[in-house]
Amino acid sequence: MKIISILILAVAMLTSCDSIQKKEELRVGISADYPPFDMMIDGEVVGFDADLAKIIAEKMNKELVIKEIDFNSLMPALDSGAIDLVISNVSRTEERAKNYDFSIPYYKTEAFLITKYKDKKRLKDFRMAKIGAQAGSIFETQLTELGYQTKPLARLAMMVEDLKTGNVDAILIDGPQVESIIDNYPDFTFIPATEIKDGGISVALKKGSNLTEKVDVIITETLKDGSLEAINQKWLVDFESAVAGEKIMGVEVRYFKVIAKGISLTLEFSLISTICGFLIATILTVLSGTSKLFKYVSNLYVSILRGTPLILQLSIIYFALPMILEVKISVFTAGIVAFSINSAAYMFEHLKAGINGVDKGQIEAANAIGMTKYQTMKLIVIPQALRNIVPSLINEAINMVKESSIISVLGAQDIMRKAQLISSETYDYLTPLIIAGIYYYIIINVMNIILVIINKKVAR
Amino acid sequence: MLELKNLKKAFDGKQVIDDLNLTFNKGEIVGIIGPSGCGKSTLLRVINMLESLDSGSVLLDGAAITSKNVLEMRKKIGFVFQSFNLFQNMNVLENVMTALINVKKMPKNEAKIKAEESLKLVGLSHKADSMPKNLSGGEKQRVAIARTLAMDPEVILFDEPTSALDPKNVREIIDLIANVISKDKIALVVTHEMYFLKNVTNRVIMLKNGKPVVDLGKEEFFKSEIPEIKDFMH
Repeated sequence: MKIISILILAVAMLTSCDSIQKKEELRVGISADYPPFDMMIDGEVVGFDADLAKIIAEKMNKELVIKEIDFNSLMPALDSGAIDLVISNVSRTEERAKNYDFSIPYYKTEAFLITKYKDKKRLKDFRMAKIGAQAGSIFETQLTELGYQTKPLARLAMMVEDLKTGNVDAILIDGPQVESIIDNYPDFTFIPATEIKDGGISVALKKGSNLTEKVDVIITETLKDGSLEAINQKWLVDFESAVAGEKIMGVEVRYFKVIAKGISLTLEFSLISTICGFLIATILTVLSGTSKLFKYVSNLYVSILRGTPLILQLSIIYFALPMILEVKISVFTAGIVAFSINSAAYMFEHLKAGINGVDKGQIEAANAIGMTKYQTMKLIVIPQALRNIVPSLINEAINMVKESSIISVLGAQDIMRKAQLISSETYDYLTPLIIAGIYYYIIINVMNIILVIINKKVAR
Repeated sequence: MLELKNLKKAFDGKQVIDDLNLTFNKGEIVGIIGPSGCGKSTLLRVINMLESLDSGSVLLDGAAITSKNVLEMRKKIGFVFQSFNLFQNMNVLENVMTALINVKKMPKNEAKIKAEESLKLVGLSHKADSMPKNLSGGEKQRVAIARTLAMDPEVILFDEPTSALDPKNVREIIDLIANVISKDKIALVVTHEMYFLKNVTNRVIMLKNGKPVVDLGKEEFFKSEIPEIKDFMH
């Protein structure tokens, strides 16, 4: 009964994620790791781009829904229809324009190099050096085309970290970021990189979107009526990024609090996935015992899911399924589906082994004394099989907690993602990761203690 | 009365039971002997359909055992295994009780009384709460015998009941079997133990190549000059 009620709860939670909204939505994708354009403060996506998104939604008379998505997953999210617009400091390039619509630019910027070599004055001085740039950005493309040795990095905070440690000699960034980095790290100096052409930052849309024209009109309006200039003033002139707060052992308390907010999502996600995975595995086990066809299908299922990376399965479910089935699914739902079907493959093997591990002699004794097949299963096989597999199921749940960090790639606000957001806001890459590590470590060790207790009970 | 008519069973083309006919009456304790692979164990296993027959029929008091009535018939035919096969997830009392409750549909309290009686009979009342893995081999076989006796079967099949035991436990279990089998039952015992044949059985059957080659009362068996029996004695 408990399992059933948990299942009902899980289904209710899943469906509530995708419940149909009454007012028409404008879903905007933002990768909140590029302050002051895109950042997350107190669990909310804010910055230049978020304010622009508000204006666009208002003028379209739609309800704004901001989806926080990793930069590399933004464009695929347009394809899958998960979002309508990308307003996330995306530059228009010829390559991108083949596959996506772009609005007229709403911001023009210049490229700068940040480095600790005070003697170098131009981009050309870095001929033999290694330069970090945001992966997939226009900067990365141009640097590579110009023949520079480029290291693509997913996040600005990673770039700064690499610069600090000397893994790269310089990083190539947008004008607006220069000030806050130099403020945090006075050892660094900046050099204008005039060779790099920036096509300007635009709103990106799905190819052939019926919104493209409207967005152009709205941006033209905001340029004329001064509202874009007001946003510019608010975020790029007046804004002070790092707000110093209370500290414990030199680390801001805020770090712990923000990252702790990811714990419930990580736990919820792992628990639901483990339960759903177990149910799928049970169904597979029962079915594979009934006919050769089902046995074949189950084995195929297991071999496919064990033979491909989880992150690939997750990406296919999140990006491809919505396109094929024309349904919208949230990151959370996609994650649950991917993790459930993936862990089901492993649990199916555990279940099979658990049942095969029950002594055949006992089954024979049960038959000989007149028990039905059902009674033999219920009274003899299942209780012993469960004892065999409970430890491996808990191990599976422990793996789930660790691997669940993969969903942070798609922007689910779990422990890992919260840590990344803190690091992109503060340019401190290491501390948030260590805090996240501590949280994972505690969770997993609590689970380990439970495992030990259960193991002792099982071995009675 | 237990009748075996024209029983045939082959494994991988080898005829393990070859057109076998035997009849057993109440009160008979039958020792079944023979070289390994002669079909002794298979004979016991086809009687309660743990193995299916290729052809022939088994009749208990005139009623044939079929796949339809097998569960009903197994209530009347107990089976004691060489390797005990106790249910590892149940304690000693539960091992004896479970079939009373689930197969014989006895009320729980009645089943408990019956199981306790049965454990007393094999001298294991004090181990009722123990788990099987904490018992010695001899104790395990006692529980297995108690489990079978509690069902009040008409026929009990013992498949080498002492082969897995320490030598010091063998006589103890044989004496126990002698004491607990009442006059109204039929017992078929596959065994190698001379002590068993001499002290417990009243009839001895020797199988060879799936057929009975010797079928004598105990007294005649031990007096017999038949070469197969002489070979067996040595």
